[in-house]
Amino acid sequence: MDWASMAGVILVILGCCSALAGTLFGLLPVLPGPPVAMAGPVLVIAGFTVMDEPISGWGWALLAATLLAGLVVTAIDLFSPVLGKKLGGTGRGAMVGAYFGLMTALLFSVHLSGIGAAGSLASAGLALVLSTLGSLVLLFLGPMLGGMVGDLVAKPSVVQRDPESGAVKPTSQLLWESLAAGVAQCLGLLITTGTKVVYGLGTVLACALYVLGWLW
Amino acid sequence: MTEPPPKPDDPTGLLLPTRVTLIVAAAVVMVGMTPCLGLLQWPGALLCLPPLVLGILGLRRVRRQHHDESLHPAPFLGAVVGSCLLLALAVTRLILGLGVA
Repeated sequence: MDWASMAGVILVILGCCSALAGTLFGLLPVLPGPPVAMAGPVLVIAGFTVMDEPISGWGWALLAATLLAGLVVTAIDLFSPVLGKKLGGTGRGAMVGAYFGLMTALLFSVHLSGIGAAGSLASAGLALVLSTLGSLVLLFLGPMLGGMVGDLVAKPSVVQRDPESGAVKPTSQLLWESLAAGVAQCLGLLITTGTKVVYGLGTVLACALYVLGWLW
Repeated sequence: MTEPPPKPDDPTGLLLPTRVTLIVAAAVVMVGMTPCLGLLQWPGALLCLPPLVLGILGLRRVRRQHHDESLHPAPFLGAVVGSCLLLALAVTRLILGLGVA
Protein backbone atom coordinates (compact mmCIF):
# COMPACT_ATOMS: atom_id res chain seq x y z
CA MET A 1 0.00 0.00 0.00
CA ASP A 2 1.44 3.37 -0.99
CA TRP A 3 1.52 6.45 1.23
CA ALA A 4 -1.42 8.17 -0.49
CA SER A 5 -3.70 5.18 0.02
CA MET A 6 -2.62 4.86 3.65
CA ALA A 7 -3.23 8.56 4.30
CA GLY A 8 -6.61 8.30 2.56
CA VAL A 9 -7.69 5.32 4.66
CA ILE A 10 -6.58 7.10 7.83
CA LEU A 11 -8.61 10.18 6.83
CA VAL A 12 -11.69 8.03 6.16
CA ILE A 13 -11.35 6.34 9.57
CA LEU A 14 -10.84 9.72 11.24
CA GLY A 15 -13.93 11.03 9.48
CA CYS A 16 -16.10 8.15 10.71
CA CYS A 17 -14.74 8.59 14.27
CA SER A 18 -15.38 12.33 14.06
CA ALA A 19 -19.03 11.78 13.05
CA LEU A 20 -19.51 9.32 15.94
CA ALA A 21 -17.81 11.66 18.41
CA GLY A 22 -19.93 14.57 17.18
CA THR A 23 -23.08 12.54 17.84
CA LEU A 24 -21.96 11.80 21.40
CA PHE A 25 -20.85 15.41 21.94
CA GLY A 26 -24.35 16.50 20.97
CA LEU A 27 -25.60 15.16 24.30
CA LEU A 28 -23.43 17.59 26.24
CA PRO A 29 -24.11 21.32 26.01
CA VAL A 30 -20.48 22.38 26.50
CA LEU A 31 -18.85 20.28 23.78
CA PRO A 32 -19.11 21.40 20.13
CA GLY A 33 -21.12 18.49 18.72
CA PRO A 34 -22.29 19.80 15.30
CA PRO A 35 -18.89 21.16 14.11
CA VAL A 36 -17.15 17.90 15.06
CA ALA A 37 -19.87 15.86 13.34
CA MET A 38 -19.68 18.17 10.32
CA ALA A 39 -15.95 17.41 9.98
CA GLY A 40 -16.75 13.69 9.54
CA PRO A 41 -18.03 13.68 5.92
CA VAL A 42 -15.45 16.36 4.99
CA LEU A 43 -12.61 14.12 6.19
CA VAL A 44 -14.09 11.09 4.40
CA ILE A 45 -14.32 13.02 1.11
CA ALA A 46 -10.79 14.35 1.69
CA GLY A 47 -9.63 10.76 2.16
CA PHE A 48 -11.23 9.71 -1.14
CA THR A 49 -9.63 12.70 -2.88
CA VAL A 50 -6.18 11.75 -1.52
CA MET A 51 -6.73 8.19 -2.76
CA ASP A 52 -7.81 9.48 -6.21
CA GLU A 53 -11.18 7.77 -5.87
CA PRO A 54 -13.95 9.18 -8.11
CA ILE A 55 -16.73 11.00 -6.26
CA SER A 56 -20.13 11.12 -7.93
CA GLY A 57 -22.38 14.16 -8.16
CA TRP A 58 -24.63 12.64 -5.49
CA GLY A 59 -21.61 12.41 -3.20
CA TRP A 60 -20.86 16.12 -3.59
CA ALA A 61 -24.55 16.98 -3.16
CA LEU A 62 -24.70 14.93 0.06
CA LEU A 63 -21.59 16.73 1.35
CA ALA A 64 -23.08 20.14 0.54
CA ALA A 65 -26.38 19.23 2.23
CA THR A 66 -24.52 17.94 5.31
CA LEU A 67 -22.45 21.13 5.57
CA LEU A 68 -25.50 23.36 5.12
CA ALA A 69 -27.48 21.45 7.74
CA GLY A 70 -24.47 21.59 10.05
CA LEU A 71 -24.30 25.37 9.80
CA VAL A 72 -28.04 25.65 10.58
CA VAL A 73 -27.76 23.30 13.58
CA THR A 74 -24.70 25.18 14.87
CA ALA A 75 -26.60 28.47 14.58
CA ILE A 76 -29.57 26.97 16.49
CA ASP A 77 -27.17 25.69 19.16
CA LEU A 78 -25.46 29.09 19.49
CA PHE A 79 -28.63 31.19 19.61
CA SER A 80 -30.82 28.86 21.71
CA PRO A 81 -29.84 30.47 25.06
CA VAL A 82 -30.84 33.91 23.71
CA LEU A 83 -34.10 32.49 22.36
CA GLY A 84 -34.78 30.68 25.66
CA LYS A 85 -34.29 33.91 27.59
CA LYS A 86 -36.69 35.73 25.28
CA LEU A 87 -39.30 32.98 25.54
CA GLY A 88 -39.22 32.22 29.23
CA GLY A 89 -36.91 34.75 30.79
CA THR A 90 -35.00 31.96 32.50
CA GLY A 91 -31.76 32.30 34.39
CA ARG A 92 -28.65 30.20 34.87
CA GLY A 93 -30.18 28.18 37.73
CA ALA A 94 -32.98 26.90 35.52
CA MET A 95 -30.49 26.07 32.76
CA VAL A 96 -28.21 24.05 35.06
CA GLY A 97 -31.19 22.32 36.70
CA ALA A 98 -32.71 21.37 33.34
CA TYR A 99 -29.39 19.94 32.18
CA PHE A 100 -29.06 17.85 35.37
CA GLY A 101 -32.64 16.69 34.90
CA LEU A 102 -32.12 15.70 31.27
CA MET A 103 -28.93 13.76 31.96
CA THR A 104 -30.46 11.96 34.96
CA ALA A 105 -33.59 11.11 32.95
CA LEU A 106 -31.50 9.81 30.03
CA LEU A 107 -29.39 7.59 32.28
CA PHE A 108 -32.43 6.43 34.26
CA SER A 109 -34.31 5.50 31.08
CA VAL A 110 -31.51 3.01 30.31
CA HIS A 111 -32.55 1.00 33.37
CA LEU A 112 -36.22 1.23 32.43
CA SER A 113 -35.38 -0.12 28.98
CA GLY A 114 -33.53 -3.01 30.61
CA ILE A 115 -36.62 -3.92 32.61
CA GLY A 116 -38.74 -3.68 29.47
CA ALA A 117 -36.42 -5.95 27.52
CA ALA A 118 -36.37 -8.51 30.35
CA GLY A 119 -40.12 -8.48 30.81
CA SER A 120 -41.02 -8.63 27.13
CA LEU A 121 -40.51 -12.39 26.92
CA ALA A 122 -42.96 -13.09 29.73
CA SER A 123 -45.69 -10.55 29.08
CA ALA A 124 -45.85 -10.26 25.28
CA GLY A 125 -44.22 -6.86 24.96
CA LEU A 126 -46.44 -5.02 27.46
CA ALA A 127 -43.54 -4.29 29.78
CA LEU A 128 -41.49 -3.11 26.80
CA VAL A 129 -44.23 -0.70 25.71
CA LEU A 130 -44.70 0.59 29.26
CA SER A 131 -40.98 1.10 29.81
CA THR A 132 -40.66 2.94 26.49
CA LEU A 133 -43.57 5.21 27.41
CA GLY A 134 -42.02 5.72 30.86
CA SER A 135 -38.72 6.70 29.26
CA LEU A 136 -40.42 9.23 26.99
CA VAL A 137 -42.34 10.74 29.92
CA LEU A 138 -39.08 10.88 31.91
CA LEU A 139 -37.34 12.71 29.06
CA PHE A 140 -39.96 15.48 29.33
CA LEU A 141 -40.38 15.47 33.11
CA GLY A 142 -36.66 15.36 33.95
CA PRO A 143 -35.58 18.69 32.40
CA MET A 144 -38.87 20.35 33.35
CA LEU A 145 -38.68 19.47 37.04
CA GLY A 146 -34.91 20.07 37.06
CA GLY A 147 -35.39 23.51 35.51
CA MET A 148 -38.17 24.38 37.96
CA VAL A 149 -36.15 23.33 41.01
CA GLY A 150 -33.04 25.06 39.64
CA ASP A 151 -34.95 28.28 39.10
CA LEU A 152 -36.47 28.14 42.58
CA VAL A 153 -33.16 27.44 44.31
CA ALA A 154 -31.40 30.20 42.38
CA LYS A 155 -33.88 32.84 43.58
CA PRO A 156 -32.71 35.13 46.39
CA SER A 157 -34.10 34.47 49.85
CA VAL A 158 -34.84 38.15 50.44
CA VAL A 159 -38.30 39.26 49.46
CA GLN A 160 -38.91 39.93 45.75
CA ARG A 161 -40.97 42.88 44.59
CA ASP A 162 -42.74 43.33 41.29
CA PRO A 163 -40.67 45.89 39.32
CA GLU A 164 -43.83 47.61 37.98
CA SER A 165 -46.19 47.80 40.95
CA GLY A 166 -43.64 47.41 43.73
CA ALA A 167 -45.85 44.85 45.44
CA VAL A 168 -44.41 41.76 47.09
CA LYS A 169 -44.61 38.70 44.84
CA PRO A 170 -46.62 35.91 46.47
CA THR A 171 -45.15 32.41 46.66
CA SER A 172 -47.72 31.09 44.17
CA GLN A 173 -46.53 33.61 41.56
CA LEU A 174 -42.91 32.57 42.12
CA LEU A 175 -43.91 28.92 41.72
CA TRP A 176 -45.71 29.66 38.45
CA GLU A 177 -42.70 31.63 37.21
CA SER A 178 -40.41 28.72 38.04
CA LEU A 179 -42.75 26.24 36.38
CA ALA A 180 -42.77 28.41 33.23
CA ALA A 181 -38.97 28.58 33.38
CA GLY A 182 -38.82 24.78 33.72
CA VAL A 183 -41.12 24.24 30.73
CA ALA A 184 -39.17 26.75 28.60
CA GLN A 185 -35.86 25.11 29.52
CA CYS A 186 -37.28 21.64 28.88
CA LEU A 187 -38.50 22.57 25.40
CA GLY A 188 -35.29 24.44 24.55
CA LEU A 189 -33.03 21.63 25.78
CA LEU A 190 -35.00 18.89 24.06
CA ILE A 191 -35.14 20.81 20.78
CA THR A 192 -31.43 21.72 20.74
CA THR A 193 -30.15 18.37 22.07
CA GLY A 194 -32.53 16.44 19.80
CA THR A 195 -31.50 18.48 16.77
CA LYS A 196 -27.80 17.98 17.52
CA VAL A 197 -28.13 14.22 18.06
CA VAL A 198 -30.29 13.75 14.93
CA TYR A 199 -27.76 15.78 12.90
CA GLY A 200 -24.90 13.69 14.35
CA LEU A 201 -26.69 10.49 13.36
CA GLY A 202 -27.21 11.98 9.89
CA THR A 203 -23.47 12.56 9.48
CA VAL A 204 -22.79 8.99 10.65
CA LEU A 205 -25.24 7.76 8.00
CA ALA A 206 -23.58 9.93 5.35
CA CYS A 207 -20.15 8.53 6.26
CA ALA A 208 -21.54 4.99 6.17
CA LEU A 209 -23.04 5.62 2.70
CA TYR A 210 -19.71 6.97 1.42
CA VAL A 211 -17.76 4.00 2.78
CA LEU A 212 -20.30 1.43 1.55
CA GLY A 213 -20.31 3.03 -1.92
CA TRP A 214 -16.51 2.96 -1.94
CA LEU A 215 -16.28 -0.70 -0.82
CA TRP A 216 -18.90 -1.91 -3.32
CA MET B 1 -29.78 61.16 60.75
CA THR B 2 -28.07 57.86 60.05
CA GLU B 3 -29.42 55.48 57.44
CA PRO B 4 -30.33 51.97 58.55
CA PRO B 5 -27.72 49.36 57.62
CA PRO B 6 -28.51 47.45 54.40
CA LYS B 7 -30.11 44.06 54.87
CA PRO B 8 -27.88 41.09 54.07
CA ASP B 9 -28.64 39.03 50.97
CA ASP B 10 -29.22 35.94 53.03
CA PRO B 11 -30.52 36.75 56.51
CA THR B 12 -31.13 33.05 57.27
CA GLY B 13 -27.49 32.09 56.68
CA LEU B 14 -28.70 28.77 55.25
CA LEU B 15 -28.98 29.57 51.56
CA LEU B 16 -25.40 28.82 50.50
CA PRO B 17 -25.09 25.48 52.35
CA THR B 18 -28.51 24.46 51.02
CA ARG B 19 -27.49 25.20 47.43
CA VAL B 20 -24.08 23.53 47.73
CA THR B 21 -25.42 20.34 49.33
CA LEU B 22 -28.22 20.13 46.75
CA ILE B 23 -25.77 20.46 43.84
CA VAL B 24 -23.47 17.82 45.34
CA ALA B 25 -26.39 15.44 45.88
CA ALA B 26 -27.67 16.03 42.32
CA ALA B 27 -24.22 15.37 40.86
CA VAL B 28 -23.73 12.12 42.82
CA VAL B 29 -27.24 10.84 42.00
CA MET B 30 -26.74 11.69 38.32
CA VAL B 31 -23.40 9.87 38.12
CA GLY B 32 -24.89 6.97 40.09
CA MET B 33 -27.50 6.52 37.35
CA THR B 34 -24.76 5.32 35.00
CA PRO B 35 -24.86 1.55 34.45
CA CYS B 36 -22.35 -0.33 36.66
CA LEU B 37 -22.10 2.64 39.07
CA GLY B 38 -25.18 1.74 41.09
CA LEU B 39 -23.18 1.52 44.32
CA LEU B 40 -22.82 5.31 44.19
CA GLN B 41 -26.53 5.62 44.93
CA TRP B 42 -25.97 4.59 48.56
CA PRO B 43 -23.96 7.75 49.30
CA GLY B 44 -26.20 9.55 46.79
CA ALA B 45 -29.31 8.74 48.82
CA LEU B 46 -27.57 9.78 52.04
CA LEU B 47 -26.37 13.03 50.46
CA CYS B 48 -29.99 13.94 49.65
CA LEU B 49 -30.69 14.27 53.37
CA PRO B 50 -28.58 17.41 54.17
CA PRO B 51 -30.34 19.68 51.61
CA LEU B 52 -33.68 18.29 52.78
CA VAL B 53 -32.90 19.09 56.40
CA LEU B 54 -31.42 22.49 55.53
CA GLY B 55 -34.42 23.30 53.35
CA ILE B 56 -36.86 22.44 56.13
CA LEU B 57 -34.80 24.50 58.60
CA GLY B 58 -34.75 27.39 56.13
CA LEU B 59 -38.52 27.20 55.67
CA ARG B 60 -39.02 27.24 59.44
CA ARG B 61 -36.68 30.21 59.81
CA VAL B 62 -38.41 32.11 57.01
CA ARG B 63 -41.79 31.43 58.61
CA ARG B 64 -40.53 32.60 62.01
CA GLN B 65 -39.11 35.85 60.63
CA HIS B 66 -41.95 36.48 58.19
CA HIS B 67 -43.33 39.40 60.19
CA ASP B 68 -40.67 41.76 58.81
CA GLU B 69 -41.45 40.68 55.23
CA SER B 70 -37.75 40.43 54.38
CA LEU B 71 -37.52 36.72 53.61
CA HIS B 72 -38.96 34.49 50.93
CA PRO B 73 -39.33 30.70 51.08
CA ALA B 74 -38.78 29.99 47.33
CA PRO B 75 -35.16 28.70 47.42
CA PHE B 76 -35.80 26.52 50.48
CA LEU B 77 -38.99 25.19 48.93
CA GLY B 78 -36.98 24.34 45.82
CA ALA B 79 -34.36 22.57 47.94
CA VAL B 80 -36.99 20.47 49.72
CA VAL B 81 -38.74 19.51 46.46
CA GLY B 82 -35.44 18.87 44.68
CA SER B 83 -33.94 16.72 47.43
CA CYS B 84 -37.17 14.69 47.71
CA LEU B 85 -37.11 14.06 43.95
CA LEU B 86 -33.43 13.07 44.05
CA LEU B 87 -34.03 10.78 47.03
CA ALA B 88 -36.93 9.07 45.22
CA LEU B 89 -34.76 8.60 42.12
CA ALA B 90 -31.83 7.22 44.11
CA VAL B 91 -34.04 4.76 46.03
CA THR B 92 -35.76 3.63 42.80
CA ARG B 93 -32.37 3.07 41.18
CA LEU B 94 -31.22 1.08 44.21
CA ILE B 95 -34.35 -1.08 44.03
CA LEU B 96 -33.98 -1.60 40.26
CA GLY B 97 -30.29 -2.41 40.38
CA LEU B 98 -30.44 -4.14 43.78
CA GLY B 99 -27.82 -1.68 44.91
CA VAL B 100 -25.00 -3.16 42.90
CA ALA B 101 -25.61 -2.95 39.13
